[in-house]
Amino acid sequence: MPNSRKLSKEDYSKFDFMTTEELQQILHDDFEKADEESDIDMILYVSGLLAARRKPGELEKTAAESWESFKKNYYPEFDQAVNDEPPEEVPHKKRKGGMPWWTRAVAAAAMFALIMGSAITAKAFGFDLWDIIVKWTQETFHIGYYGDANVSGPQQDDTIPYLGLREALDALNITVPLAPTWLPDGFAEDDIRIQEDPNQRRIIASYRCENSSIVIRIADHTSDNPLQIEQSGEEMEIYSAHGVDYYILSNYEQLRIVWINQNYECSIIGPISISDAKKMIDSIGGT
Amino acid sequence: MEQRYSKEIERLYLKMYPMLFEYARSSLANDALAEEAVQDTFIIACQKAEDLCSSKRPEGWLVNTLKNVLSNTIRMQNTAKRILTQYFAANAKDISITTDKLDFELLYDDIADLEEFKLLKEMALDGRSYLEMAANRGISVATCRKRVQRAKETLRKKIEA
Repeated sequence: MPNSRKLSKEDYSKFDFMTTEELQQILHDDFEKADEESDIDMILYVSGLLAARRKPGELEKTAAESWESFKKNYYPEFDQAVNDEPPEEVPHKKRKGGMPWWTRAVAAAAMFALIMGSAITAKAFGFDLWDIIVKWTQETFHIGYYGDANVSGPQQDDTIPYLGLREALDALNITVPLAPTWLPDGFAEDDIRIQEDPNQRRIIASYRCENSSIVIRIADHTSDNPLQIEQSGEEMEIYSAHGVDYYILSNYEQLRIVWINQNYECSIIGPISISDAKKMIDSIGGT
Repeated sequence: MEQRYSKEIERLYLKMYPMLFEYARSSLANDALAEEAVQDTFIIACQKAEDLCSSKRPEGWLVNTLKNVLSNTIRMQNTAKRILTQYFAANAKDISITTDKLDFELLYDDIADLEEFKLLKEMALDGRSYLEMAANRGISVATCRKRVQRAKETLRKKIEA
């Protein structure tokens, strides 16, 4: 936009008579003036004019085709991200069927162990035991503190991949041992990303072997959004290593390892056997 | 991501793509890179879906995010160009770096991973999008980005050594 004065809608008709090159120059000038606020109405009007002047088939892709490419090539997590939406919490409701008695017993033991185990960890790092939130239902597993976790950290460019999980942890100044150094045979690093919003930093690391993938998620533990995992209630085991309790949960065809260490909530999900899960846990090490 | 956000993001993509593409195209002068800038904008939109959807004007949010993406894209290209130029200067061979027919195997056989180096060269000097480079090699866009990043780091270390 040649000047920062906002034009009324009526004024926009003047753009209709400009050449395509002139309109492109207006958009280019707007981009170059990075320190000035754009006139969004004008930008949309001019860019809409340019789009309307395109002949059918002139561009390689339509918006719909580009959207499909986006989901396939740029953000394949899109559909998964939608499906990962946590279910709404239902008030106390008597369930029919459900887990066998022994599974419920294990779950209850797990909850107890989680509270006690977390108490030791929490106390060591200055969290109050009674601030710990643990919920276990047939469908979900919640774990977390309700403390004042300090999640401040440097802002990262969340569109740039990292070379390795350890590098990503270093980039966020996370020194707590959270990354396994051993992976099941055949799995190789595929993508490491940092996602960040004002409340939480998350590292998502994926490892691939043909059509299978293992995803490691490490995130700041936030007080208002404790980790919640959907699970099928078929199998659960607590495995302790280096003073941390790891919860190994079956999730349909996948195995999930969940744990909290200091201010970080972590999970590993993939087609992993129990013995491989334990090897991965052992490789994380301790402080 | 909540389903209401995903629906809204899809709606915004289909509505805004032609306009955002034109905006990006006006500065990048390259269709593939312009589309990629829009895609990157929507990756951020997905990651900050709540911000986008609670914004008073999501269209404005997208335009401003696209401007940041464009700035990053141009900066990254310039950085890569600079690293390549420095590397070429430090390892001067009797050839112009702007030629399209560099024989990397012959000229720079000391570079550990020629494939990554070629990707960096295509990105920085040939203006190829990650999608184009990934499609040519049968790899994912994410892997392609990572390899380019790794090539930059490798060259940077070589220059500093």
